[in-house]
Amino acid sequence: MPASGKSAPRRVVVASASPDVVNTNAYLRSYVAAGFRQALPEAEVHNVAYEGMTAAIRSLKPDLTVVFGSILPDECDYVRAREAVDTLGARMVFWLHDDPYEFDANYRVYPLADALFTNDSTALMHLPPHVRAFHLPLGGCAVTHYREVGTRSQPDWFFCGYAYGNRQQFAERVQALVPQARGMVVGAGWDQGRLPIAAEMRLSNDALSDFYAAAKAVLNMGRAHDLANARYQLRAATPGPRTFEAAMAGAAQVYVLDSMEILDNFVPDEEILLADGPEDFAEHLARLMADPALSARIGRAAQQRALRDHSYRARAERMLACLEGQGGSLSP
Amino acid sequence: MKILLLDTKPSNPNAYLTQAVYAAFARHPAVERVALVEYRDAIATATREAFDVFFVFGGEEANNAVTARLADLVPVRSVWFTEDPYELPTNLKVCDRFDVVFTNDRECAGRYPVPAHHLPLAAAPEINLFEAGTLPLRYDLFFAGTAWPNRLQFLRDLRHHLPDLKMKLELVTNPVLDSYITNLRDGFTFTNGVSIRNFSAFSGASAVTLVLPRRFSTSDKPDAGSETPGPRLFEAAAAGACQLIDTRSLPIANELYRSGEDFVGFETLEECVAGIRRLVGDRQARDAIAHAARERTRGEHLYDHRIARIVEELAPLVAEKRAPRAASLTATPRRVLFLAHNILQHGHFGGSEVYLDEIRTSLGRYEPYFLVHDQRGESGRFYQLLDRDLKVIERLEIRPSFVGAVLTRPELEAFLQQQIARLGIDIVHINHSIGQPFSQSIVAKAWGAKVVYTLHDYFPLCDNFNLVGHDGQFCRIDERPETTCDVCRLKSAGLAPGSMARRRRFSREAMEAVDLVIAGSQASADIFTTLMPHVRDRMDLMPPPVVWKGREGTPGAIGTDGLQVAFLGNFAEHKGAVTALEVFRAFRGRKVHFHLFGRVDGMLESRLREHLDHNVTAHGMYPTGELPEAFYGCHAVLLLSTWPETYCMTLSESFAAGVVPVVTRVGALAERVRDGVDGFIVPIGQAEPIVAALSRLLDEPGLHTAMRDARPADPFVSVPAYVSWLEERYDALLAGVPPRAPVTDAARTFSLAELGVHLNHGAWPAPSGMLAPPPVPGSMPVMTGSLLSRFLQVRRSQGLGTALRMARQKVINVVRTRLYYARLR
Repeated sequence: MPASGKSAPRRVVVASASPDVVNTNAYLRSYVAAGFRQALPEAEVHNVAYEGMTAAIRSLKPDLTVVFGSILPDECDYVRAREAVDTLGARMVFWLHDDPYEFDANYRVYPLADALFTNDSTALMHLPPHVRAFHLPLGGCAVTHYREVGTRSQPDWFFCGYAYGNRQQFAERVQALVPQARGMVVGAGWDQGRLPIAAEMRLSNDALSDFYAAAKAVLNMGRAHDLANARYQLRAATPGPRTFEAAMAGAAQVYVLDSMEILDNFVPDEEILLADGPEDFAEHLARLMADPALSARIGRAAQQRALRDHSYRARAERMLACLEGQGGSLSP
Repeated sequence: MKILLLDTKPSNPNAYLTQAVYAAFARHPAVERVALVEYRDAIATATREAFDVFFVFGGEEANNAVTARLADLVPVRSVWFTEDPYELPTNLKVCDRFDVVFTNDRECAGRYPVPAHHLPLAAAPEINLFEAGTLPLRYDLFFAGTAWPNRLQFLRDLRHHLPDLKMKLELVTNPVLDSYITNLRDGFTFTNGVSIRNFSAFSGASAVTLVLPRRFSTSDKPDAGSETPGPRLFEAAAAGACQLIDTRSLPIANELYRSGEDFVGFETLEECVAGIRRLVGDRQARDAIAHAARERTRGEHLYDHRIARIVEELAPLVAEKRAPRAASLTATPRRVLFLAHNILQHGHFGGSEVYLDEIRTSLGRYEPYFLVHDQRGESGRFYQLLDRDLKVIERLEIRPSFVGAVLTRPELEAFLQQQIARLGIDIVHINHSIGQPFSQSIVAKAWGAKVVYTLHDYFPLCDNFNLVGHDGQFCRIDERPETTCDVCRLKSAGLAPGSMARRRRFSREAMEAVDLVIAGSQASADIFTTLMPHVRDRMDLMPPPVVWKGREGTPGAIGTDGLQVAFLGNFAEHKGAVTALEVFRAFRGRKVHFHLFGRVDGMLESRLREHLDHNVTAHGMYPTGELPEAFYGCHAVLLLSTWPETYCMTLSESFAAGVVPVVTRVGALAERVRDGVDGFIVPIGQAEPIVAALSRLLDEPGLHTAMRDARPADPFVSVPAYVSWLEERYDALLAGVPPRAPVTDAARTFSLAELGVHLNHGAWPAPSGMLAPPPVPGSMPVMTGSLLSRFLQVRRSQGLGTALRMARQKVINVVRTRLYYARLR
């Protein structure tokens, strides 16, 4: 349902928290803007780059400015944007999407944020009590990521991501356990000598969704990538954005269980499969290879769940509901 | 009861415990307010509002001057040590700062020489309580913790006995521990640890959660152990875990929970194996134990219960309404430490040094100290701590020397912290930021000093502190997008785009810690606050004081001798010299003569030369504050700065001497002159309006006298008046702040990171962003074009020897900067 409270904004600016030139995730901003357009069909929603934020606030006069992304670069500064917001008597919120890996920089926006949204639940519980904060994971885009779930052609299993050591070992072990499976691993840093199915390449978002929709099993294995997390050494608890994007694409995901929070987001065995190691994954893979219809069933169920609960529209609605309510909360 | 809560460990991986304690305090009905503070804001918070209790959680690293100051500021002091017995020797050194001690370890409670109580850790309902689920259990056994050797050995043995057990292990190691577990790590994988919510969730999703002791220490007792339970015991119980506990090493578990009902105890491996077999095979029995443990935790072992005990112990002390220890301290006069890039006595001084010296000799109720960058000689490595009489108290050498490219310099930050503590400094007054990192204001505030900043120029906005852009004109950054700074600094200094944004963001962050900014004019305050809007409400206006040693001028009659016009100050482009040259030409052949007082910039010497034969006399340089005699014979003065002067002493001197000013429409000049009344205001860079103004003075009889008579009656603020005003401002900042006792032991200082300040790069010209490649060694821009131009300019004006000396120094600075910059990577 679109937000319809009396304080529902009529004009929203969604701005990147960091310059696009240093932000490989700049494209996510368009998903957020699209989510707000769906959540607020009668509102104007503007999608602006970091560099244009202050000027956009001055000229567009939004009720709500959503600063989205990473605030880590040392040059990222919101003091004058905040001043422009204050001049309007409007609200400015931050939606940080790299917690807890960049948690040490978060303090920079505490004095500037009317509310702070963090993608990670562990980060949330470490924010100071005086900060009005909420948990808001990233999501999947119903336009960009959505794919019709059809025939699962190939590969049998698919993974996309950087070859951290644990991932390389995991993938090698899967290949050893299910040598007949046609796997495909894509990303940077893979030792192709030890894992011939790996391809050193970068996939577009569209291509990635195509692979998610085509594979019988999609491996979902997280990583920790601390850039500014030395102070409290926080461990992530919320599933990363790929989980929601793959679900939106109708993937049958096998989620390597590093966090039980996945159970808050998807129903195990119905919408997602869980694995504690390569052996578990191999078992699931064998089952899905033998029964591609099961893969499609799980993928469709995950997609329905993503459309209902994990789209950027749902996230925008959640944010607006938080802003209308009182105080902060620990979980969605 | 109002509570100030501090976790003394500045970088604490278990910081969630502090949050849990905070939440429990906040829920307690007797607690009216609880403020969770960090070192960065603790003292400021404690002096801003009155607290009844200073409560330290953890107690690790508490032996520092900030904690000592907090203990002086709040009437009742208490600590909950949570790392006993491991930290007992350290804790004993600081325990006498507290009225009541709580310790997680029962045995240690009797070792403290002050009232001490055993208080185990607990569970946080908002974090750890999980309702019983109906899902099948995912794991047979869950264990999470540091991979101490005894634990790895035990888990290996378990695997041997129960090879089919589905284990979920979250084992954490570290480089120190690695060498002790080399022979034990086969078959285990190690993780970065698990979040506390996931620890609780995994506990609840497992048939058995194992609790194993730590039997390891790198001290001389390698088998040192503790019978004290860590927080996990309670957290797992709250989460619905069925815990198997080694009760030999944790006998206290039998007192906190009921063995056999709330948990299952074991003393041997065999008993543990038998317990696992039984519980994995009997879900009902497992759930019954888990349920009982959860309910007992809910009823007895939440932080709410612990806080209730603490409040009960502290309430009688609070009821005594005792005064804080600091209230009995007398420290008169109070002390102010000035940070300065230079002092008058070191030579090569300007207005800010004169200002500082007048304050030094005139402050009455405050005792001044000075931390000065000693720039004499070529090394630039030395700093001096001076007293009022400029006697050197201490000298600091840093290697390499300070360069303006850095935002943080740990040695200087540590030195400032130590001096604030050692001297009992109440106020840190930054006279200029040159030679000091911006971080000093943050450091000073954290250590409890009030921070004052005098705005002599615009250095916090731009390292080119008079805001003259690459084109030689005022950049008008207050009217333009800040990204235009990229173009300006790229062209003028070769700085990579984004550099100024990095510098300015941190400068803004540092300004947040400043309590009072003193500006000499509204115009300069307006420019400053346009870019620093967050300090607007901390800005105060007061012109700098002047000791006037001149007299009223006695120029001749205009009609007889012609109009005598002064150009006061260096004849340089940023002072409007280029426009002045056009004016000279326009008046050639008319009864107007120009007098230059000050150095002539080398770049302008040749262009000036042709005018010297006609209507211009260059009188040369003159000592600061001693106007040359010829000036008193002038009718008018050209003050044509192209940049927004923050005050302009020479305008005050001109008014005092009765010389009518013609000033540019920028900064303090335009603010202080009433156009057409006591002077003329003209646009920057335009000769015609100046010619028109001077023509009026020449042609309109009586105009000069009228304007001269209309000048401000009192163009100066005297030194006594200024110092009186300043001391009043100091008084206001320190109102309600008790005196501080000097601390002899201030060895423990804090890094910026420990104060919660994050910088990706310690230098502001670093290449952009966290996603950019790391800086290339040697990529620090060398301003070759600018250097050459400057060299030629100095050679022309001051001779080859001076030019070579300055060039040498510049090259040394560039090399030093590069070396320092390389070390930052």
